[in-house]
Amino acid sequence: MKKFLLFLAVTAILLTGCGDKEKSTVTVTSPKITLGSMITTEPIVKKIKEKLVASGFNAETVLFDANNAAAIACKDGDLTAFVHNHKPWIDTFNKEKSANLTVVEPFIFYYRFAIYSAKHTSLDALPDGATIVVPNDPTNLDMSLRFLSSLGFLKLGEKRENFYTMLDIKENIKNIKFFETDVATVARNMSEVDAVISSAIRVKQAGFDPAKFLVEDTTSKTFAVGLSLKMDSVKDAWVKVANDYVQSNEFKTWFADEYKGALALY
Amino acid sequence: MTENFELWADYTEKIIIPSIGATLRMTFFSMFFACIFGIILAIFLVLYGPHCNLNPKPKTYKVLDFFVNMIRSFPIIILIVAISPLTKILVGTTLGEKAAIFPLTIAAIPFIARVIENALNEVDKQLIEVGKSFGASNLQIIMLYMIKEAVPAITAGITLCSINFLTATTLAGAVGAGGLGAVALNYGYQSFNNFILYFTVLIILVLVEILQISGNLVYKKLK
Repeated sequence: MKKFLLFLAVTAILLTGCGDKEKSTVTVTSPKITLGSMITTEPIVKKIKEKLVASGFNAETVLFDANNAAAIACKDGDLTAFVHNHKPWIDTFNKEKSANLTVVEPFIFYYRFAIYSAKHTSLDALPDGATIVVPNDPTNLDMSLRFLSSLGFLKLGEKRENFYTMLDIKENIKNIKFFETDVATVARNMSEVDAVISSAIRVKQAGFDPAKFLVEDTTSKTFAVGLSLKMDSVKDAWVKVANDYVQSNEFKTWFADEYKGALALY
Repeated sequence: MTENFELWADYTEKIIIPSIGATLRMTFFSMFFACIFGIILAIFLVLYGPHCNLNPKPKTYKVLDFFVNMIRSFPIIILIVAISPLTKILVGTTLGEKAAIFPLTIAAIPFIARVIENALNEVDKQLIEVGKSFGASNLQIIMLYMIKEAVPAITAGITLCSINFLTATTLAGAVGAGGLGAVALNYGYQSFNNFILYFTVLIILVLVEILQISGNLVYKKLK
């Protein structure tokens, strides 16, 4: 029992130690601007930080490794702004956590979702009975099927549940043969089949050129990403500086060169 | 209500039944190949191993033993991904059932070999002495005396292994092989459809029961 109490005390001390440290770097009363990101978007916030520092602001970047961590930190006021989650995600986050985060327009980029092929160079070249790999999780499968339907490759019936599934294909006009695989492995199979439906970033990770897609899903522009912050800080002086910067040709040229099509400029 | 019924009928006909086929094919073929190679590997393990005193070669045995343990230590989903370049060379594709059967076989070989090795090591040592006194070669001793004696134990081991790999095939959905596991995960769990999830689990349960019961029957016949 004594040992257990001692253990508790030590843990408590250690934990408070950690907490203090974090706070000292994040919430300082001076108007320090902290910009959060995930590993993919880190170069973007670093670039914005450089610009802000050059313009005389006190700015720094923080790297997060969980999808919702930056949003939570921003909501709690520990983080000034972040670039990572897309607009629909932020909207849902606001609703579920009763937060008031907003994505500043104009947006910076969006996650491209497209048809890629290592064998064919155009959509028309896809043969009848083409083999296509699609992600097998419901959200991505739903998106892929609606995408193919918008291209006229198949006809979908009425959606009977939350997501479109293989069951809702009423007419397979192009006689597509589907392979459903884990979303992370879809792009890896590019040389095995006629085409894959994947996000550009996964295509890049699989070692293919993310800019060489046959056609991109027009709805992927809905998943726009930009500088996300609390509604009340939208009017802050630095936001305008940052915003002007991400719209500049200098930034856009850098972005295209950095991501090479894995993320698409909005 | 009728609409719901139609939906379930659709699910059963187009999703669940084909996936039962896929699961059974994957289990059968991976077990079939794994048994062939597993028995060969087990014979070497017994021949060079220290237990039966046939032709002990400690160094060779250590190497074989190491490889058996190494492959057995891989989680199957990792093995599927890790040996995909080899799968590509040997099977010609990294997609679909065939691409899943290869890594499943690779994973099953050491498992089966170990089970058979243990079964053979349990054979009465006097039987080996008898064989030797008749002037039988080591291979003859293993093939004619030991395996014959160990058949019931081997059957039980293969039943155990088959069930293990029936459930392992549920991971093969990741490489587009389909199967009941992929259905339970994607159409059940991830789509918030508990009916599909538990219905699929129930089917897997039934398949496992069938395997175990038939395994037991064969065991009784042979014993």
